[in-house]
Amino acid sequence: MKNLALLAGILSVSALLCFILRYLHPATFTSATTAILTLAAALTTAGYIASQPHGN
Amino acid sequence: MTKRPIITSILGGILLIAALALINVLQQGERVVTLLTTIRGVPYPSLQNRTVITESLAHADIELVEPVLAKELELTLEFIPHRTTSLAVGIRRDPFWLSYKPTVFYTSTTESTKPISATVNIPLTDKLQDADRSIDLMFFADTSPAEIVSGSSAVLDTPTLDTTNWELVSISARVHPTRPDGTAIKEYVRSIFKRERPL
Repeated sequence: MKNLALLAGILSVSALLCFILRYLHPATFTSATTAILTLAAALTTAGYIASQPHGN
Repeated sequence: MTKRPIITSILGGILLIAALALINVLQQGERVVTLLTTIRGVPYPSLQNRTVITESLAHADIELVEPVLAKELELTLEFIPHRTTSLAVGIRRDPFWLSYKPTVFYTSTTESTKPISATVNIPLTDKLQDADRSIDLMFFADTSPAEIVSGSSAVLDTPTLDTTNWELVSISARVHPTRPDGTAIKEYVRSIFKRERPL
């Protein structure tokens, strides 16, 4: 569980950096790289949230 | 809540981006060179698989698949100069349309109708790269002194007076990693901050 949270964090930070670098210099990373990182970050974050125990 | 996972996430994200950037830097190989055109965008005619260049300037794009940082371009050319006395090639450096620093690869005072080969190496780190990762290439041809005297000095202003005539038989562009100098890195960083962006 901790590892999934860490992976989600790493991917989210790298996706954010990718967005910033692409804004500063579009030739640095392709839109495909940015999209893949964003998708991976979103999926791992969703997986982490889904794995949390539900409290009612 | 401990701060350790947050710091690890930030460092991990930076390392991942650095690794992806390193993959870009290490890429090498042959890249596509588009058709040669005039500075007005009209393609030069092709005759028996040779491009006939009839103006002093000839432009093409090189379609890179990586950033220009820490890269060198190796151009391999085969051409027939005819009566051209000097041929040079350059890569655009900044947003000004004629910001090229030409590298001369052929000079002669006699006519030559046989194909000649030349290889030109151009560092790319300080060159202008478009958002689609392409770079601008320009050939510069000088006509013979006799033609300038008998013709007109205003050939650039009046293309119809331009007596340039040389043929490009083949062109290939390869990129490979290189170690850029400090000035080139400064220019690269400056170009990032000076670039015009949509609001």
